[in-house]
Amino acid sequence: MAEGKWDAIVIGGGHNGLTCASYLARAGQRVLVLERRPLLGGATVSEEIYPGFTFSSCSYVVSLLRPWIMRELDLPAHGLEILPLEATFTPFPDGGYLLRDGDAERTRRAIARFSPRDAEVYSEFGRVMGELGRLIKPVIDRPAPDPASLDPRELLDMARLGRTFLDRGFDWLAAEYKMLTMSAVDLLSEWFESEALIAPMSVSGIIGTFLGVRSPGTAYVLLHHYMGEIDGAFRAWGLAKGGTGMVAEALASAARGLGAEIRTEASVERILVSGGRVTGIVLENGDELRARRVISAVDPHRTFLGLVGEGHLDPEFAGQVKRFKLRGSSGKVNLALDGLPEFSCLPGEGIHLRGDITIAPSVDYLEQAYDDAKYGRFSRRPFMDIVIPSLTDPSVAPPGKHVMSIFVQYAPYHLAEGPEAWPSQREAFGDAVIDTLAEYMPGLEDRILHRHVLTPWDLEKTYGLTEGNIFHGELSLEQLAFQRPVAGWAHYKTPLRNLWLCASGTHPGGGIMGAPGALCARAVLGQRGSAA
Amino acid sequence: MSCDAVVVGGGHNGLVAAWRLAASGRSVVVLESRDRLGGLAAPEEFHPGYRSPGILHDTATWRGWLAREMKLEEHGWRSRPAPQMTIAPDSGSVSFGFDGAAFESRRAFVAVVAPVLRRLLDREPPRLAGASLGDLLALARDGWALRRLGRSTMTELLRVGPMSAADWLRESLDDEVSIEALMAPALIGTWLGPHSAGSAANLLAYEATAGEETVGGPGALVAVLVAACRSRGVDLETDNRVEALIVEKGAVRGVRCAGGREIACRQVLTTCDPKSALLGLVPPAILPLKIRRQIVNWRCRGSVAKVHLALDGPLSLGGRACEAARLGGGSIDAMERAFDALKYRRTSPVPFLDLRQPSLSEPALAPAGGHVLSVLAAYVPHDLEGGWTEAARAALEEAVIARIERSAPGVRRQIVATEVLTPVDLEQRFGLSGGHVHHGEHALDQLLFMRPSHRLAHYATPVLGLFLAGSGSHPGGGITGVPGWLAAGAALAQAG
Repeated sequence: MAEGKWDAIVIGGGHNGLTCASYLARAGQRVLVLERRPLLGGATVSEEIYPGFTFSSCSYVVSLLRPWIMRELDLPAHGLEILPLEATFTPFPDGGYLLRDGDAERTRRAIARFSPRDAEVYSEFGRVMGELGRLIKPVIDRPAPDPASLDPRELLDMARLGRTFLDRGFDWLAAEYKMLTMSAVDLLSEWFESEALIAPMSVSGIIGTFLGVRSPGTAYVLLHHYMGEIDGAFRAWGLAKGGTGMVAEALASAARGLGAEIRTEASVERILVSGGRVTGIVLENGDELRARRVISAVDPHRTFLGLVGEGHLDPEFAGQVKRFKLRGSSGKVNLALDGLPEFSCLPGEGIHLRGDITIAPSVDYLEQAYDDAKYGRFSRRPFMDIVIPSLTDPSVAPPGKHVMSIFVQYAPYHLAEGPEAWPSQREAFGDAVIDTLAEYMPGLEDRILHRHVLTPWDLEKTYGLTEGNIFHGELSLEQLAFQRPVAGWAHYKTPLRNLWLCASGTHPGGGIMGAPGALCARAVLGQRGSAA
Repeated sequence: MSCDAVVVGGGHNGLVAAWRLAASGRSVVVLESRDRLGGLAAPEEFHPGYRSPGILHDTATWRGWLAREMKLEEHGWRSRPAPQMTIAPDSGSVSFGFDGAAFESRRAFVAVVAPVLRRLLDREPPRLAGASLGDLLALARDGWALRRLGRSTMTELLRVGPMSAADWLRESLDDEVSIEALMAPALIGTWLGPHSAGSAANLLAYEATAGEETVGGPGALVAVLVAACRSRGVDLETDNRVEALIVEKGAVRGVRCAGGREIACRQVLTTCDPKSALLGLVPPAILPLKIRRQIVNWRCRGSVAKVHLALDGPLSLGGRACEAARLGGGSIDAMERAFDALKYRRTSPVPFLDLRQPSLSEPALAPAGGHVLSVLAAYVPHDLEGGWTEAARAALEEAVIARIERSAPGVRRQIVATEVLTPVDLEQRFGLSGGHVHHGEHALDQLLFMRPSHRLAHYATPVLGLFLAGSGSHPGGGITGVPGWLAAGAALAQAG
């Protein structure tokens, strides 16, 4: 390979790496994307694990993907179609259930069975959260201003942000501050009285975190999930037709169309550093590839402590990277089913199976699930978020058969016996999930053709997520915005010249959002200001 | 009868507020519903001849600058270094104080940031709504003070604040016994565990403001404050419960006491907790709905019990007479498990104890040879599942005594009498909503410009002339005197 052939090498073909590559290619840069696995997408992946059954192995719903990225990269033309999820269904152990769907009146009546008062304020809550989401949306669509910086452009950004809130009024600023500091349950309790509503609503606050629903800071993650939008419709969740991997496929197609080169089964072993500058990478097979810049779409730990190596880092910076917390807390169970399972509380097929199914019967249930994780065990009775994509999108399973995707929390990476104990506990973990679910869906076990259990250990080993953290780093207040991943290095640039970060370990964080990738590309290209 | 200002509640904050108003020439009446002044800082006889030092027994956060401002030394106030802390994990070993290189580097960091934090905690919180030019300048000065720390210290402060105490302390310390003991002041009186985000901010605030203690403890401090108030002509009345505020056209006109007596005044400074003050004293329908809602949502779930033990001899730990001790489970997980119980409305099976033996330095608290143990026990819920029955109280008492016994075998035989105050008892005796000793939880969303709500954080209320001067206002609970001082300042500014 000729020296300096590439303007940029992107390490990792996940959705952020591909987004970044697309934007750079669009600006005329010569870009090479290197993916370790045979297929693209990272955790945004679909895999035919068993013949005929396509699993969205890791990430399973799409909502945070920035609409302007969809538009600018013309992803629908590259085959991306998002099918909306129709409902949120919560079964309870006593045989009751709560079904919320797009029909406001039906949802109001459903909630009123638990609390007439809650039913009345439910839509107002959604409106306020939507408004709070809209207010901070400019923050996630642009680099995070750094209050410690003396750069006048940064100060101007800060002032502009402050202005947004001052214009909107002090009450909204206070409400936003509360979102950053409260627990999901405390916040929801200010609005609602019924646990049947509070518990399933609170779980959005804990997804991917090592926190419980009563832990301060979870209200923000709740809001983070409220920012989901498909085609501009706020608080809409959907499935990518053909599986989550189609997001990556569409991005890859866009990137290729713009002239980027993408190689799979190209595992980067090392980032080349000389004299504090990054000059390229070394592949596992020994090939050295040179580039003007290297852009890492893998998490900060793996980038700096793995690929770069501590020896090339300033000790203080290395310390800060090590303090960045990645404690993975979730796992995934994917099932191939020979028929549609039934809930005993609401038998038969219906809209309730075509949405999001939440096993979160009470706040104490969720707290107990968290307690297990705090002391290094997987939850004996876990929180689960389930979708059956084959109902909405028959292409992912053979006729009459189904796939079920079960997101499970908590599965702490750091087991009391150490993370390397996970392989020996994998099946017990899978059993705990199925046993718990079978209490709501009797006979589920008999319908299972194949079971695919992913522990945080597997997420690390197979998908390269350090400590199995699906967000490349916890979404806790001290790890957000100008502190993600390290204060002073939150603008995608790193202390090593020509090395950049473009994935979920940077602002604005995890989920299939694409914003880190796009914002990194803008930073590389020297463009400032809001991307949206 | 009439005066310029009535202070409702004769606790330490009420006395400080009254002094400041009187020192500016106002005629002030302090009305205390109980038979003594001092509130949670008042010593009380709990067994013939044995007196507790007060519900809150730590005077380390009482501000030295307030003592100077109020010239308390003229009334006999003296300070002394805080007593050495005895640390005993559940296993039986005992250590003394926090020493070593790791502690030194922590102390160095706290020493650097302390002036900035004290700046924040000893003055009105930053005013963000309807800020005047002066407010903006003050804000800019705060920002500049923060900036002057240097970029890395400033960002470190912003990083640490929202963290959990456990995560923060684990970055610099390995010894979990010490970590557990160190973080106790951040957790006692909160609804947070060691792993709860935001608990590091409480720890920082405590460490930045804790200094010397008052000689003689809370009781001596109250006596000095009373003397200072009297010297300024403050009228102090005990056994006088204020039942309602008299409000006309949205402004305070006076207070009505139990028995119907009315006192006319233009200003009322209440040191009750925000719920008791605004939902209890203010006549219904006067408070705007929005503010009312904020106060309804004020979280003040009591989580500590107070236990007093009368002993026939001194308590020794590790072979030394123990003046102050923290008795825990010996690890972060043990403390977290203690907190777990609270979540499920249970009392921690192994409670964490913050213990004082004030009679060692104040022999007058007990008969000759006798001693008093003052114990704050965490975590103990206000809303105990099944309620606070006699059996539940007995179980709590036994859990506390058993914990002390494990570190001090034989102490049980020394016990002459006990007093157990559950959060419900504290609520009933002191009128604390939720039995919360800090008048409201210390959590990031209930501190600074959010205490007790973003519309009430500057002591003034929508009722003209009514001010919140208790621990439910910035900077919060503990014996600091600052809420009372700052509320009086706000009252003086309004009248002026």
